[in-house]
Amino acid sequence: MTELLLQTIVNATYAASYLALVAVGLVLIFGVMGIINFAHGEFYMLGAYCVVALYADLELPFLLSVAAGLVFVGLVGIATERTLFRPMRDNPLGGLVVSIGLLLILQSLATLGFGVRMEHIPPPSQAVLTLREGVGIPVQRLNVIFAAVLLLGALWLFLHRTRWGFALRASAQDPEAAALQGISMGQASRIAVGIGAALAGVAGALTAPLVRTFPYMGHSVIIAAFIVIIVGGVGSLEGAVLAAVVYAFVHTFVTTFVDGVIADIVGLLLMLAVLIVRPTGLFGSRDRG
Amino acid sequence: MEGLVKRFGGLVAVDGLDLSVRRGEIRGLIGPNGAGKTTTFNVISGFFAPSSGRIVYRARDVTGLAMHRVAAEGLVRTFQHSTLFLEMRVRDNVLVGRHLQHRRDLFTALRQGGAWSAAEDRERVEEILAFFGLAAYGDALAAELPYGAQRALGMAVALAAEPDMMLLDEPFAGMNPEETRRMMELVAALRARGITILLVEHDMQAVMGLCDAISVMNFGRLLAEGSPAEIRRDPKVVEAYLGSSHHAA
Amino acid sequence: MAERRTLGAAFALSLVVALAALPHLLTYSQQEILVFLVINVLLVMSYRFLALTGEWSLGHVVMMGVGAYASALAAKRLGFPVPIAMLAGAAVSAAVAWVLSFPLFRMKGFYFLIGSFAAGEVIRLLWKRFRDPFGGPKGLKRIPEIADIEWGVLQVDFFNPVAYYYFCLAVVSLSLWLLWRLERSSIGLTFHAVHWHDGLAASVGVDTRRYRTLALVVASAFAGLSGALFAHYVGAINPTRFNIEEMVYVLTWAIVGGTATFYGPILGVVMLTVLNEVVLRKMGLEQARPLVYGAILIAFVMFLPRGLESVVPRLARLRLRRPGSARA
Repeated sequence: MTELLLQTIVNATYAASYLALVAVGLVLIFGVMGIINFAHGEFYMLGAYCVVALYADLELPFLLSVAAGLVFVGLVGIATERTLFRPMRDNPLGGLVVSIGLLLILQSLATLGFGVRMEHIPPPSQAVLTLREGVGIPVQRLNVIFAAVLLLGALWLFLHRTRWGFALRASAQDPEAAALQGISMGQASRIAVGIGAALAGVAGALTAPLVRTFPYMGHSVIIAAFIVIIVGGVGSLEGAVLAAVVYAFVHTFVTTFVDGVIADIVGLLLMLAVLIVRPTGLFGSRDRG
Repeated sequence: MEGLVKRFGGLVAVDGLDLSVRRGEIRGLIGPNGAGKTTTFNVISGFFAPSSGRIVYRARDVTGLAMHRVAAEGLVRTFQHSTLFLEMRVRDNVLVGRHLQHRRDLFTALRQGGAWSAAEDRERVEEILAFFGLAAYGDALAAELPYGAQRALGMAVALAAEPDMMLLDEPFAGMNPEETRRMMELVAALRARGITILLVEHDMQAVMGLCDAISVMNFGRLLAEGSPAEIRRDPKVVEAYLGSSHHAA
Repeated sequence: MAERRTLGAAFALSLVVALAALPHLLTYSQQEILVFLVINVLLVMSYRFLALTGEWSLGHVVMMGVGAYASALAAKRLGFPVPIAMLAGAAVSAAVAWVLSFPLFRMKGFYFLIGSFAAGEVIRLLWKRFRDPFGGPKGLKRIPEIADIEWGVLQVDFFNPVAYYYFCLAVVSLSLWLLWRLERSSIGLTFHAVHWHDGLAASVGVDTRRYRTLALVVASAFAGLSGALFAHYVGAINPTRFNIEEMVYVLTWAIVGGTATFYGPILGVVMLTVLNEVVLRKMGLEQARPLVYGAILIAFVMFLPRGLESVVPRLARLRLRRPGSARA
């Protein structure tokens, strides 16, 4: 029993780490643009397909493929910001609809390019780190945890220690404050969506060998990420990280000890409960009204 | 109108306020910025629930009732600025105000279909539009009206609900002298119809010229109460206003 | 005025004739598509009814599913005659919507959207989780069809798409007429008022929460009815049929057509069905359907946010102007 408990904790930590990457990106985009990006799960999916194309098909080094995923999806994010999101700034319904449109397009493109079949990606490392008798963690999962901590730490430093980061945080509160830093709203949103997308992309790339990689894989991730950002308080990065941990633990434990579908239901009920208690979300300042 | 008493404790904006308005009068509620006038107003109309205290209207306790229930008691408020159904026609704006006069169940609605607005409803709407000088605008969108007419329409919507008492939120805000004069006539005409009026206002001249009695608030409390002449002479009021009105006015 | 009335009657008559004649001009598979189109018209029109109050739901297709499951189970398990089961399905949908209104209408706007999505997913997962009675991921099969009618010379087999099309057309027409009556009543005006300014509406005595609930319940009842029509024609339903992807299609129909007018969403669903079944199928691009829908969604929100319906008056004006300018 103790083994199962410890193993579940390890599994939950892993789930929390990549979920945090996805959710933080979502919050970043929402904070600066006032748009909830429904296509965020597809950014994640694109990252995974970078690994399929570069690592599994072209047999390039895994780390290089992951880096390519980060850069490529970041660029997709910047293109999205310029063409789709900027005209919809602070128009949640319009932003929602264009992002749903983007979601359909990206899914279709993945299907047309790679087919709907599940991709088989040989894990770069088969090693399992044994923590104690009956409790282990595959090195591949451990790498995801390390990468998430590293990237989120870097993001924190960027947001709190650089002029650009300050502008980004300011523009989430007050566009004029950002302008005072000599950084335009357009630049701030470009960076926010670029980073947000890149984080989702890198999460997808890192986990590609560990999950079922197929064009619709973004679906379950986006639902989890929505739950996380609502529970964490829309607009709060720290809240999102914390909520990612809470959700991952609840979900993993319920999955292990009850079953997966019930775990999904519990997650959704958690989100509904938060919405009921704080109908405008925990940080209601960005309410559409 | 038996009297209106409100008491608060613990709320910073309005702090233990007692206020009673006599039936048929025009009462002004004034005070420097941040005195708690608007909060008081919102609590009476059911926009906020009070943290404590009681609001009694015609011997009925209406404390903390939702806004639509307060309206059903005959106490209808207006809003600041151009708070209207901007995308709807002027006539339909007023028709919405008739809400409380309709039978509203599903089956009545199905039976009525397009012909629901009974002749008397129509007649009343036209009468109200004429009263506010809006008869010519009936088919225009509310958003297209000039500012003064929009403010009048806001009151027309409230009047359509057939209130016994109207709460007017800064009816003269942003108006030029001509519009203000028109609005003062309208408010006086409303009272002539037997409607009690409580209004919150910045425009001192209009308040002094219009109201039967004035209550002055400062820091969430009642500072003074009396006729316009008394208020004008009251040293406490003069002091409160000199303290802040230079930039407020 | 009299001239207009004659014109309207003539238009209505030709519409009836066209709708009656339509299936006989089509192939068998096109007739089947026509049945689904009529069902989808009811679905998207019920969606519009809710949108009148300004709330956009992402759980509407799940409400369709509630009607489908309830009706299928009523017919299969309880042995209800199918038409009665269909009404029961609509009633269950309405009841579920009423229960959901309590948590959901503590939310507004964007949060209502997310909340309705979450509530819908919970219902869908319940179907998936509980094999008894919902059949789990595989759903329900062998749902009874409407019993054949054999009254002497009149013999109707509802497995035949043409017969079922007429049946659906009758049900949907009646439903649309009811929705139209409601919208034109004082209730419809109050919906608009709640949409444009709920605070002002409340100030003159409108119980905004009650009206939102009313819109949700009525909309869900008709969505449930459309689900029932679907279930007893196809004979099998499963949780995937009512997922978010289907919801996105409904959203697309509403956005493409526009929701300000009664005919907008019908225009949307008809145009997109024609595009889908005629153009894409002919070109062998059915695989690209989500791609096309995605591009259309984006294009409409960015360039024609008020939908096709906003183009119609402009076209009508153009046609009117031509003879007018000749006279001048």
